[in-house]
Amino acid sequence: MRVPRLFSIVAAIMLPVVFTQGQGDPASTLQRGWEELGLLNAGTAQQAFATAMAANPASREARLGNALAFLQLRSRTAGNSAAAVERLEDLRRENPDDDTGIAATYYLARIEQVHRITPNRPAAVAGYGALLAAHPSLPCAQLAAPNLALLLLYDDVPAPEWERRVTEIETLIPRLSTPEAVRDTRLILADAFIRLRHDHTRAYPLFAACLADATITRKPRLNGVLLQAAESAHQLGRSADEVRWYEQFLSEFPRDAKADEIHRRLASLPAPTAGSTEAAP
Amino acid sequence: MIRSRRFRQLGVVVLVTAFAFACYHVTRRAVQRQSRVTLRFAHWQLEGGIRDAFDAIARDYEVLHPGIHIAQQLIPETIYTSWGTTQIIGGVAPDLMEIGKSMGGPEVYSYFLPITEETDQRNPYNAGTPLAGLPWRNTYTGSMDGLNNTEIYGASVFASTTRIYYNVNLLREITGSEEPPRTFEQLLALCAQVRAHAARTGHVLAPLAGSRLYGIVMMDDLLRSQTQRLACEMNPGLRFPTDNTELYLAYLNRQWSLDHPGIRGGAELMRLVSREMPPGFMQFGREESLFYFVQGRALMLMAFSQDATSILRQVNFPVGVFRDPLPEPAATGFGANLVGPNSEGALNVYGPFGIPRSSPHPALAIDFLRFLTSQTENQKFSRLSGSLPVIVGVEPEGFAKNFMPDGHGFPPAPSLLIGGAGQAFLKQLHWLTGADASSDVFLHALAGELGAGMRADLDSHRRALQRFVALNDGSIEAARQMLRGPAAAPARSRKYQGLVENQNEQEATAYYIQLRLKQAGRMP
Repeated sequence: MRVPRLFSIVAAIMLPVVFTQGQGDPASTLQRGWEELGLLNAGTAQQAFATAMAANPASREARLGNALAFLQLRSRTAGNSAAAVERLEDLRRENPDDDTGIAATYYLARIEQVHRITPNRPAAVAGYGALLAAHPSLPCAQLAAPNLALLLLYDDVPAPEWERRVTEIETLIPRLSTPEAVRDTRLILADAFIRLRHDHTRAYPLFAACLADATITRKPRLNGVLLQAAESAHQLGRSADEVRWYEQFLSEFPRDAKADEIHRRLASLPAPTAGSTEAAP
Repeated sequence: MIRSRRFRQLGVVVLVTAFAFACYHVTRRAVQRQSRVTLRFAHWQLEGGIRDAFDAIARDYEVLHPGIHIAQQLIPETIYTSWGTTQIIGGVAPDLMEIGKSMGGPEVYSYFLPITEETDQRNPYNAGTPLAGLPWRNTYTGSMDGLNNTEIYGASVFASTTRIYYNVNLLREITGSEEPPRTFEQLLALCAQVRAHAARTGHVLAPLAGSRLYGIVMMDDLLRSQTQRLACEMNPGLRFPTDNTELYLAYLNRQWSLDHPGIRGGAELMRLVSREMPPGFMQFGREESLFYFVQGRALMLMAFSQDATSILRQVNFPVGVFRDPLPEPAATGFGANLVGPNSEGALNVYGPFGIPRSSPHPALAIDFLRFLTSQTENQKFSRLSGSLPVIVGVEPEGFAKNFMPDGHGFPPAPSLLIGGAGQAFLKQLHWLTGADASSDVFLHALAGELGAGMRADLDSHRRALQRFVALNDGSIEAARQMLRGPAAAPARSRKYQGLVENQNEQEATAYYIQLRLKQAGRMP
């Protein structure tokens, strides 16, 4: 008689523990969802987000993750995009001003830009523009800035319209505050000046500002920007800056395939005297 | 009676003891076998030296870790792509796989675990060496995986250069000297001497043992030397050669044509070198051209540095190597198409070993990778395989010293013999061989095909970029979410910044290609 009673007491204590362990606590399940999404495991991420939503139906982050997982599934279908749109619109409708609501608005514009089978550029431009107007200082909203620059600059429009768009982006840059938005909007504009207009005069200050801020993260990108800054400085006759960027290039990438030629170019340049670096553009 | 009974009892005790002892040993072995972990790694490097070097390093690792067995899977190059794709998509891949050969298509990296965070940490197997305090990724002389992604997906031990191997005895017999040619003109003169010698003696002897692969590599080197100035002219921002994307967009937008002196020079050099290889060389496999050389039926063979061990094991004559001589910069002729002498650049690694997401033992795979790429083991790998070392402080030994890249000079132009554009070149290559070979006819035929090949390459590149950025939206948001909280690690912040930066850079390239292709479509 004693054994069954003891068994029921132990079972009563252990069952909730076992149940809770099986579910995982909502915060760690949510974290696992983001980790899986970060590793491009959309299916596993979706399961984790579903579990987190079941445990805490009020979790807007879990619903955001669930929506984004639809966009990462290997089958890129109109149905998956529509499922993501529906969930993101719900999040935005409930609260457009918290971080999740702003992220939902941003990803709705991303869907128009890259996830639709036929992208809708005007809708994406309108979405980014509205987001930046509504929340100009919030980091998530500022992710819209480089996207807006891409859509406006890499478009087949007459020269006057292109210049108007350049002015729009140039006006936007000083209003940005997050390092990623400032860096990438500047670099997109600078690259467009070089690729589409061969315009070193307007590109160089943007490259130089990014290098001065030291916000470039990836070595391949830093390699390209240092080289372009040195070459643009050369085109503009700013030899002290050319030396400075080439020397930084060599210290960062001493074994690069271009290093030997850069050593030769440096040897042919006048040695900079103290304080001869041109004023920051 | 009593003695006899005791004797029987003793016999039973001995038998029971022996049985128990045998049971113990059999059971222990079975348990050991069951508890032993096997780590499998697969690659396509079938060169003899490489296989042996991996075996030696695997045995070293097993001595350090007695419960672990390392198994090497050698997959022939010709089936590696289909085999590897099936393995990774089927979720049954080995613990480590050499990444490359377009395995898995454009989304290959989504099937492998990023090891970026691990590469920021020290490699414990470098303890006691000058590299002990360095992050793992900084122990490489150049790139760690050669893949140029935001994340690092693997660690390589392979680096390659190309050289011309030559039969020292034959060279002495033909020229009276063991000195190899140093300039392109001397190479052509030597080839003429070889042909004259073959005609005079009646020996079957070609100047160069060509194959489809080696022939293409040699012609590519020559073509890239000639398009160096063209690739610089087409670079919108730099006084350096541009990449394939920019070069193709410029061609489709009529900024250059096949009448450019660099292209004409390249085609002519390809014709000149084609005639020095045996007839029908484009039908030969790599092994056949190697066989041609080791049999003494060709004086020279253009091959990779990693072929050295296989070649040296098969020949019964002394072998020398020299760098493929290219035209030198000059005011006229082929030299006018060069800005500077062609540099081989930095040591480029290839074929990194990545960890498939389905790996049964990812932690063990990382540990073995660290061991394999430690300074001590890389020295051993280089010595046994004859490969070029990739780790800082490891010097090549013996014959491998001949293969270190020559970084002096000007970067070469990008290769035009790859992808759809490359197929267009190779399809018309027959116009450059045989008695009626003509570079004019070749270029005329090429003009009808090249644009379509370039457009297909650019479209494919643009689609891959767009697919990549679409997949990465979720990863970026995940990285942003994981930045929350007071203890967000600097590594997480760096990862987020890198993902956003890469996304915007790749997307800009995709839009640029789209715009310039649209403009090219309006060309009359």
